[in-house]
Amino acid sequence: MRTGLITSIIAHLLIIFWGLFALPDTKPFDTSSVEALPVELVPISDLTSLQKGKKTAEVKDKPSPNKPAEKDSPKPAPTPPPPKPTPPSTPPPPKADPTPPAPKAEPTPPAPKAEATPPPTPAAPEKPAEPAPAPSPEPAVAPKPPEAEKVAEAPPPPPAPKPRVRPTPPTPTPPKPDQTAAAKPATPTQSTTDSKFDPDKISALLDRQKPTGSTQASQEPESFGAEEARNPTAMMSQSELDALRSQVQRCWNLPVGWTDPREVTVTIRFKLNQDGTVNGTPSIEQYPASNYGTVAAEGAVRAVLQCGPYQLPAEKYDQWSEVQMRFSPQG
Amino acid sequence: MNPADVGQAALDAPAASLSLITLFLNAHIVVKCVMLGLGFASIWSWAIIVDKVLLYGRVKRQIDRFEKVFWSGQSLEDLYRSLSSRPASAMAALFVAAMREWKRSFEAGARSPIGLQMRIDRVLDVTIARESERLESRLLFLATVGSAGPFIGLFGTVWGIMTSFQAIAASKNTSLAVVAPGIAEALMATALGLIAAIPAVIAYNKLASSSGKITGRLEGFADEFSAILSRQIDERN
Repeated sequence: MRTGLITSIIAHLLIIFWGLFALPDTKPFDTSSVEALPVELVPISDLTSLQKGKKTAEVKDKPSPNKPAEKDSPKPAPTPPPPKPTPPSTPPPPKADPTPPAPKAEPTPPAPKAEATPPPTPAAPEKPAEPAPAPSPEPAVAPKPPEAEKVAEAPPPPPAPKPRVRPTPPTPTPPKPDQTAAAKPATPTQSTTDSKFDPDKISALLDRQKPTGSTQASQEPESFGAEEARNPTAMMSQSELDALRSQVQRCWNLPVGWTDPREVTVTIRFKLNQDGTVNGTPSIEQYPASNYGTVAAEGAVRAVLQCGPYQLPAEKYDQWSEVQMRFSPQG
Repeated sequence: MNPADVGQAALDAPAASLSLITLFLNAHIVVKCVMLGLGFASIWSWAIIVDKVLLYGRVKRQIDRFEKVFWSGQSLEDLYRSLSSRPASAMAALFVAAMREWKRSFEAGARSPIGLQMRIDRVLDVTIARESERLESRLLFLATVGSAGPFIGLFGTVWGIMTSFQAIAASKNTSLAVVAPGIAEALMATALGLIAAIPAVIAYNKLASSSGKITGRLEGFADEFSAILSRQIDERN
């Protein structure tokens, strides 16, 4: 009996050790990564921003592809907060944006001034802004143009002679229409403040910086962000998220008989076509584990299906092609 | 909520390892006991299997050798003298037991040949019963493991799934990532039950049939030898 027992024990141990090292570890299923746009029915305090980068990279204050992106498209400038992946309370960031326009021969606004007024150096960006615009530009400029614009204005006032150009500026702006589009629809007025557009000085308008190629040309390591965002700096503004939210909210009813509405938190995910219609059937990601859970989840799906097509900015389709939405009545 | 955060959370969730060891360590205490019990059952049943296979091979070889010697025409007296001190095999034990009874009766001057025949038969039966009991000992354990192992494993699985459902109810979260690990570790109990039971069942059937064959050969020899002795008794009277 002893030989049998010893043999058996040894064999079992061998098999266990073999299993530990030779058996492959369970491989996770391949899942395609989804760039979802979260929309919450709970009030959102911050803008959501999608940064181009790597999902596995560390979260950094400053997204690396940010720099080149700014040069290529001046969009980020008007909305200081967005470029930061971590919006919460980082006042310094805005600086990054306002500075480029003035010293760095940015797209249009600063350049003409450089020519018009010998002192291209924005040495006194803030100060001149106050006195010069006073005559007429100021009122038009509206109460609070972002810093960037002010700096741009700064030089022009001294030469001041030609404030009447006010109406014309719209022409130079078209190349960068997004400047205002992103966040605050109110800002459009600021573009008009770019006073003089002189065709002779077009060369000055040109960006003298060497083209950096794509936005990925940044030297810094990739930062945390979405991998597939083709338009890394475009983002859904709060108002646009609100729009989608309110469109869905119209159709969503809290299930009857719900005792504690705070428990209702349903997360569903759906795809949208370019025209705003819902593509396929929304999938339920999460629903409360109680009697009404499925009812609430199906109600949410129904709401999404009923309320389409949605009016959303077409140029940001990348952002809302796939939407993850959280339904929660407590908001 | 930042979409980046969502993505990161999704990446972090399945990070927990699901190797067999971690599955075992994370299991509920009841499930752990079941798994350990099944592990010991498996070890013990394999010990029995190895032991029995060796024993049966040995017994068969001894029987073959004894039969060759027995039918070689050697005198039974000589054979008895060489074997009586230590009967080497089951069949030799039969032979020695019957011969001893025969000699004892004759030396005492037996009067009734029928009574002698009956005694010899009874001695042979007792010896066969003793030998087959030695052959078949512990085989019943294999049968028990084979039939009860899956049930024990199933008990572990049911218990594990029960606790994992309780955990779901407590956390109010139905996502698969919450449910899956508990069910995986619970299913491991059934896997262990099957691992222990399958070899046990197969080995039990195989060993039971071999032991039946050996017992059959012993009985056949006993009948033959009893016939030989009976003829001797008749001749002497």
